[in-house]
Amino acid sequence: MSEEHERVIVERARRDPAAFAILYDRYFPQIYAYTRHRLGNEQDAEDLVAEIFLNALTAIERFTWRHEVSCAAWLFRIAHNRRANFYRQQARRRTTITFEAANPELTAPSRPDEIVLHDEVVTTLHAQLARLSPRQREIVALRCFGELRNQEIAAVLGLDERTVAAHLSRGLRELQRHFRTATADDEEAKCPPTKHR
Amino acid sequence: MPADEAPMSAEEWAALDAIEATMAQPPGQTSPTDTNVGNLAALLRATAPRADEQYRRRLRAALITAATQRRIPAPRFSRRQLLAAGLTVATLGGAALGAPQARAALSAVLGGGSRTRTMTAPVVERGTRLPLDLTADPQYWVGPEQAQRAYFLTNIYRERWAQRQQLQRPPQAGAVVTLPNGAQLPIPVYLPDPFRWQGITATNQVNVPSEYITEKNGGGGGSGLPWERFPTYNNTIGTYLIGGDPNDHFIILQQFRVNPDEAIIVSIFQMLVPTTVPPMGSPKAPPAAGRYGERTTLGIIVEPARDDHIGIAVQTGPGTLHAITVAGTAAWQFGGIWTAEGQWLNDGTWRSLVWSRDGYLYCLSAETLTEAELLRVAASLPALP
Repeated sequence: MSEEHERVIVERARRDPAAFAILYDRYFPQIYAYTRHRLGNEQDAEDLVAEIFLNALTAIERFTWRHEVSCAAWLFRIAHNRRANFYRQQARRRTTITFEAANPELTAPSRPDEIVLHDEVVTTLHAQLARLSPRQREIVALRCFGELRNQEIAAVLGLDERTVAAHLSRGLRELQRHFRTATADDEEAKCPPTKHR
Repeated sequence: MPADEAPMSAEEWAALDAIEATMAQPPGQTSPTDTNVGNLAALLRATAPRADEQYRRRLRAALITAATQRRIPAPRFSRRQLLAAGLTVATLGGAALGAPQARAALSAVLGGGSRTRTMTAPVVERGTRLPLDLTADPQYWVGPEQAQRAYFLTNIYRERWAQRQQLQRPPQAGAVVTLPNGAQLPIPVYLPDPFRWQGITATNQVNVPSEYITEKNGGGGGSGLPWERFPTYNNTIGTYLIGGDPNDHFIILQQFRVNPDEAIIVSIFQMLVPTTVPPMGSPKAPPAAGRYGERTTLGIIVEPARDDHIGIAVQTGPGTLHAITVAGTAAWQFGGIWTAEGQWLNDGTWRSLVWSRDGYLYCLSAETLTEAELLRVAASLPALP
């Protein structure tokens, strides 16, 4: 969808439900992927994604291009803010943190299609993402799962675009190091060195 | 200076270039890069969590319904109008998101007389009808008060079972049929035996594929009756899926595109085919009761709504009307059907469900089926793509 086309769709979406559906179709996969990764729990992610789009539906009448880099940045800012609220609400609600919430990437996949994807390597890779700094992890998730451009990530997080670029580059290089170490450890664990007499 | 804010090194710039090169490729078509960081970005992207498809569709439908309802101005009903129309019961339909509001609206309307409504389609409206005094000119319904109202009539003949056996392409259970008028009609997966889906027709007959039974090309005789002609009113909002059993009991699924600009009332009625044709050009044909006989026809009237009604209303007569859910979606159930004489016939034969989904209003009506069977048929509607 070109930027011009998106502008037309957003304008129409203010009064035409079908146009809002086009925006939903365009951005649902990215919003879901980002939210699911950040929350880790499928049920929580589904609740939050519904909340995000309902919020967007309500707020689209107030959407102005003057204040937004793009529709994607606007949607992801809603997602980012709602996620922060979600954590605050959960913190109030929960007295204990479950293993799943604390280690979302280590949680077993729940559906067959995920089982296919979540092979050992992928599980390791996603687990290593949790070792990045919160900001690096957020930026990597917005870039690789949310498909946002650096300029859009900067708008969502209120950062300078160069800072986003630095975090992205350093975050992925760091992830690469962790990933290499983790996979090497795994290989070692599987094939322990034979004892030389 | 914090490490993250330090100027990027040459290696970090190279890594960033590799990441950008990877992300510039279309999703799903990422090819390996010549750097490990680029490949890592590609791997992350390819393993992004994916949603359950059923969940995605359900949320989409709920949002469309919510968007539709949000954009329909809230109609106001005066006490006079409420009294004139009998008791008007209205509620939101459809989306799970709207269900609590729907119940609130129902109790608000039932609890008092005149008040501002914030809820709109789908609407089930209790009212009274004038006799269907059909004249030679199908564009008008001439009532006793001499007021002419445009209406829209679709005749669906009862004797259909034999015709179905000749169909090359009867509607397939579980399919979603895209009609030339743009409507997408889902065919319920479940249908109690021995009922079968027999055909599809629409308010704009021109748009109906010829493979299906329509009034014009295979419904069963009688063409040439003056009131069988379709009005010039090009109403494309309604699509009808028709089924029946060997005894020609009906099951009919009406699908109406919810359009906030429309203000219409739909009514299902049954009447007998006239044995004598009213003379052409007769402005005042004999009363309905004196003209009809021999064979039963099911008709659907789509007419402009009265007063300040906005959206679609399914009109029912007096009798049972209660809130129910179709697969978790707020819905209405009522018994009975209009007759050509303007009477509400509620002898326990006809039962209907009204609900909305995917931006459409659905009304499923059947003879001889139990509420549980109707609900099961309604719940088996496949999701629209």
